[in-house]
Amino acid sequence: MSTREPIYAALATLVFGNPAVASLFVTTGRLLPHVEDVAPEQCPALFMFQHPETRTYKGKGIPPARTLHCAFVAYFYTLPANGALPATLINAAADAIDDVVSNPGNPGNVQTLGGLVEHVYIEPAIAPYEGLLQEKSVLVTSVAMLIP
Amino acid sequence: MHTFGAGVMIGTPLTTSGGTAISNPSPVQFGILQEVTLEDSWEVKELYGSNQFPVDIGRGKGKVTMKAKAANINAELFNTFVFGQTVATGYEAIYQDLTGTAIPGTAGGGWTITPTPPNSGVWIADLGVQGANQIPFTRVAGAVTPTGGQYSLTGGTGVYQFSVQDHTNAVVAFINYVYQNPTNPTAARNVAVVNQPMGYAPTFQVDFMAQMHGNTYYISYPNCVSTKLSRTFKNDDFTVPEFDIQAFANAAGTIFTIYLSE
Repeated sequence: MSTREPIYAALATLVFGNPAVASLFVTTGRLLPHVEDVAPEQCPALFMFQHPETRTYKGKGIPPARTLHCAFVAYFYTLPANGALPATLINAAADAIDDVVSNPGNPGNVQTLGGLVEHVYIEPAIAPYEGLLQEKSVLVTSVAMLIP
Repeated sequence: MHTFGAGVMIGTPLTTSGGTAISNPSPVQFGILQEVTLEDSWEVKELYGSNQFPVDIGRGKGKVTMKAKAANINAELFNTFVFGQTVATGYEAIYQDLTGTAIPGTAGGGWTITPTPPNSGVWIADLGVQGANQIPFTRVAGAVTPTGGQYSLTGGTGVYQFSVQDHTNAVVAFINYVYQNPTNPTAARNVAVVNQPMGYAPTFQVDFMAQMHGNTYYISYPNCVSTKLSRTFKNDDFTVPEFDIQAFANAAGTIFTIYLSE
């Protein structure tokens, strides 16, 4: 049976270690702080946060198909006065995270974290929360990992 | 009485696919049983008069069939019920490369890649090379120096030779192949299904029981053959093989015997 920690660790390494992602974020980690606890100089910041896993049963006696869920939560700091558009940073980050998860660059076109899982994919959404009336913006990218 | 669930279903081999009786049969259970359908049907001939409905019905040919969906997969199960041939030890499998290997330069082995099969296995056959873009490489003869998008194999050794151009372009090769291992996994079995004369099929006995609250529905078919084995493999889902079975009379003329609590 697949164990959880190596899977989550591999996903974190895949995303945080990707050069395109790394070039966009000052801070990364698996411990998600509250947005107010992240200093402006720590932004852009990207954190991985685990969600409840789900199970589906095909039938009696058949092992469940388990899906691990997590989210990559990104914090951005922009000052309206300097003209920076939060969406610009958000979109660049969304593209980078989407690309590393969805385009594994192998003939099967499937991200398996080196065979640890059956399939990694973004679901259900990439959700931007653009801070137009405040200095912080947030991007939440939900990721699902199917393990047999 | 009532029954609930798919029950338990066990088969006992009687003869091989060549008709040879099995002297010490090993019964095999349909593991992780999901669904069983037992059906008894007959052709009928109706005698009509001038009215709408028949005034008599004569029963013609009968057919007793079973359909079982069982998720547990093993060679003994398939062989007992469908193939009836020889089960041997030894393991072979496909290695599907989803990781890829950058084609090395002179320092890394002179544009050659030698895959390492899992679990100390041995490479035995090529199943092609692809790039990350899913475009297949073209295999050329061993005496030919590959160019971009080509590869060759050195005899049957599993040493893949690529081109200088693909190394220069930092191409990543994804190599699929067949490998074998005679001892790992230890439970591995294989069946070489050999063409058999028409008319022959392995025969077996089927015992099925469903129950609830101590009440049982047990039915025994002393003589059966398989008529179909279906296996559907789907993305992101388990495979549940389906066995179609038909019963026929044994030497005593018995098709089945049913035992009910009530």
